[in-house]
Amino acid sequence: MYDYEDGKLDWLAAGLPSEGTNAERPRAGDVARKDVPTCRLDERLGDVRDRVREAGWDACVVLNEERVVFGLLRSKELETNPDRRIEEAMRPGPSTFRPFVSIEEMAAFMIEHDLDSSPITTSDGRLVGLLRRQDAAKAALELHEREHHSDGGKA
Amino acid sequence: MPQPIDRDEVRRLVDRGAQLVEVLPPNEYEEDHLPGAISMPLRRLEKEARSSLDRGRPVVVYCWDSA
Amino acid sequence: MSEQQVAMACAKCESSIDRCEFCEELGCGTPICYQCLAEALRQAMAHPHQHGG
Repeated sequence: MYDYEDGKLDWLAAGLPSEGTNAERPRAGDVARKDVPTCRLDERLGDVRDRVREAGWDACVVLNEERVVFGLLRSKELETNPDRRIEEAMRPGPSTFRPFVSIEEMAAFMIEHDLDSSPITTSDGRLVGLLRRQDAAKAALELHEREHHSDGGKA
Repeated sequence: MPQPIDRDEVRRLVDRGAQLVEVLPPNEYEEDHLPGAISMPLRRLEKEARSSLDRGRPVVVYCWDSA
Repeated sequence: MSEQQVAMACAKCESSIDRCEFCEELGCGTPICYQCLAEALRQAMAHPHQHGG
């Protein structure tokens, strides 16, 4: 017999799939955008800014080779001196959240704190995606409508 | 005494046919459990293990965390 | 102009904090400490295990 000592919390924090009623409700990791632009510490800010804009985004996550999150660039950081290296320009060590956090909680916090976006990471710091406030709010609202309308929300 | 293992080892054992057993209360199991895990709350583990588990396959038990 | 750190208190437990742990802003209107935030987000999972493993 074996004992998985770190348990279910460790499994979920690693972004691994689960079964059960919660698994059917959207969570932060499900709604986070996986196509968020990413960059490395040693890149030039101007080059990254051009790439981010071309992709239609206003944020970029700074990763190392193992996809561990080192920092974040939002509009404010992207608009600074283009010759700076990413390492100097970024917001280091941003607050990150686990994939299993409920989308309702994330939406509520992001609205209350006026936070545009937040990286969602596994327990070892690897990027799952970037959760945007508008996506979190939309998903939370859709979930609320699905669960609180007796006709199942059908037209 | 069960042998402690980590997440990677859980996945390896499950790939090789191990049985996953969650020992938390049933309502917690219903909300979230590892794929393929069965529910066997701690107070019933001793009584039900012999009848419900396949002795020929390894068994991995887990709880919420290590606290 | 040098930055001055203003003492903030967690809106939930009133413990002293340097910044809001959710949005990282110094001037957040409803700052929250790390422990209260972790508790709130874990509670959002519903029924975190009580009896300690």
